[in-house]
Amino acid sequence: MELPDVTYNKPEYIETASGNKVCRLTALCGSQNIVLSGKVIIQTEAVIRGDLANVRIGRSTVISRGAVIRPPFKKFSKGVAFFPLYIGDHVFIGENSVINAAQVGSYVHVGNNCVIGRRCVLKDCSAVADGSVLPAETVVPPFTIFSGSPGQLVGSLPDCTPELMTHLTESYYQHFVPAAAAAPKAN
Amino acid sequence: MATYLNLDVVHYICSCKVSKPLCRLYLCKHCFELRCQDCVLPEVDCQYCPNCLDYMSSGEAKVKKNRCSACYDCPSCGHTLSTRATSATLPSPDDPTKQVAQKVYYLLCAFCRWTTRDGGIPDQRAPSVPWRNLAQGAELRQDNSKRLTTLTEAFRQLALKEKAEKERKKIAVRKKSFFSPGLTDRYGLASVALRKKSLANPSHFTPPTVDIPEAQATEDPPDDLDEAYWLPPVPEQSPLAPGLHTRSSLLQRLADPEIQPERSSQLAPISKPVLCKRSLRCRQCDHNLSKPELNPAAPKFKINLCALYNVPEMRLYSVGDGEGGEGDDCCQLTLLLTNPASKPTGVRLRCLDSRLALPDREFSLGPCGDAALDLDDPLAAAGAQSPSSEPDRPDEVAFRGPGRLGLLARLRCARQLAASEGVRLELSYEFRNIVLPSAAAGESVEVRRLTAELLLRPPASSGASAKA
Repeated sequence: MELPDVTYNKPEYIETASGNKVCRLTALCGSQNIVLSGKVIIQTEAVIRGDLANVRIGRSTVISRGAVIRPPFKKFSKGVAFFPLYIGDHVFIGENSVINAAQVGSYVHVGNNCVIGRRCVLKDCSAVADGSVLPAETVVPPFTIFSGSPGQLVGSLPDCTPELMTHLTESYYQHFVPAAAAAPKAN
Repeated sequence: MATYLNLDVVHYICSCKVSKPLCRLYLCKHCFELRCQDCVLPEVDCQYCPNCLDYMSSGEAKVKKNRCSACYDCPSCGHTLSTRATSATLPSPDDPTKQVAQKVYYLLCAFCRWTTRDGGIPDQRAPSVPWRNLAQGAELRQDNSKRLTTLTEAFRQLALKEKAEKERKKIAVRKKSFFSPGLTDRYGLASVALRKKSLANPSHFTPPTVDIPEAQATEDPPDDLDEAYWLPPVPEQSPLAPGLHTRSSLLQRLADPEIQPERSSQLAPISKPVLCKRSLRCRQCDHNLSKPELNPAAPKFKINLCALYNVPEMRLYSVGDGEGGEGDDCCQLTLLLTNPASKPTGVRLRCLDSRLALPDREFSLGPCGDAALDLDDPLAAAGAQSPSSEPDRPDEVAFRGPGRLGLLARLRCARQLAASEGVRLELSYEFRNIVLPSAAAGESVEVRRLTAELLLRPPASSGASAKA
């Protein structure tokens, strides 16, 4: 089935020249440290902690309502250091998920209500099922699905995952329309 | 992901008659058949650790028993263990009478907080030691491995013996037919016969060096088990009986089948099992369908004949209502066809079931491109027009986009269908096969007409909730 239109209230959103759509009702701390590469959607009540370290988000990435993107820290004998967080292209992050990963590759799908622990590495073309908890320092290899608490390997993804994820994020962007313009949209 | 893409609504039927989503199938460019993972020949290209992503050759993996030597799983919850450093006062290696502060290491599970200290393994001076061999029950594990080596050797000897006997019988039969006394002398085959005779003699083979134990009946299970073996009954008033937390769970026991620890104090770190990268080969023509790159972290392929790249994809675009006619039990479907090729492709859908009515004629899909979804692009908009001269009829075509076509279809008995198998369709499409450059001419394109069988299963609620 084609994705249904997701409507938004136009005054609540800012659309940048490169096509990023960012809700005003989000907590983007340290916005000078946050880089959005274009066509990124950041929905209501999302939190991005750019004040802790740099956050770089790739093209056509969707960050759903209530998601928290927070650079990871590591304790050292002389205190705590925060590390930059990189999110790749065509990534989908579900509602109310908390991302503390060090690196999220491209074409990654994170479900709703997930917790991705500190310094986790989600490689390209991987997926985390809804409601999973990945403890700190988990590595998710390419073409695998992790699920459960603690998250463990439960399945594999097809070889054409990049195309599937590109289709998902691009059609999500296409169907993410202002409330008034929703009705006459043909396809 | 399936919740967004709904990959299970339309299945394609593989050449082995199994229905799978298109993304799970491959199109063999030599037999022109759809193949699934169950009907191809998988080959292991390399093994790698899912945690450290270290590449391992097949020989190395065999020596290491398909387990990573550096990474360990928690025996309690299954998460990967991480190494922690701490300082401890230990006797100095130079002067044992002096106590000096030294860095020591142990393994910790970041999820359930199990440590190697809980398993009775003392902290180590080096971070990478064979932790598993330091755990309790390591002797038992070594005994088991010795016993297994002995048994393997014994079975190898047995196999050799049986093979020799089989060979001897074969030669004995031949000897009867060919080597009659008259023939051997006349043609000078005496030396050959002699050699075969020596081969046929069982004494030629060395007798097994390992004692092969005679088969024995197992003893009855012992009645006089130690009292400590049985747990006391759990008192009703206490949720956690004394001693219950010291016992391991069934999953914990099965995770370590060698010793199957009964007590939680016997748990030992488990070496992480490796994953493998597989290349797939067509069973009929032996050509590669999928060959990944060796780097475990790279999601790239040298060869990838995934069907999604070559076969037009059909998706269920939307489910509308019936607009009267046969009442509520009829609904209008919009089927979306997507062209994978950068050239116009002719497609024809035919229903093998009377319940679905759809336009039974050839349609042409426009070329797809990088801008396939960008409708503002004028070039892409040009691709959205019908490539054929014949204009689309509004009662057949819902919309056209670059490389996509929305077809209207009417489905009867939608409610009954939800519970049944689904509707079968036949998709016939043009396939452009790039033939390898020959000596005479450059590369040429061969256009073939291929058919695929599809299974459409609208979501269970489609008929009833179409009007909602």
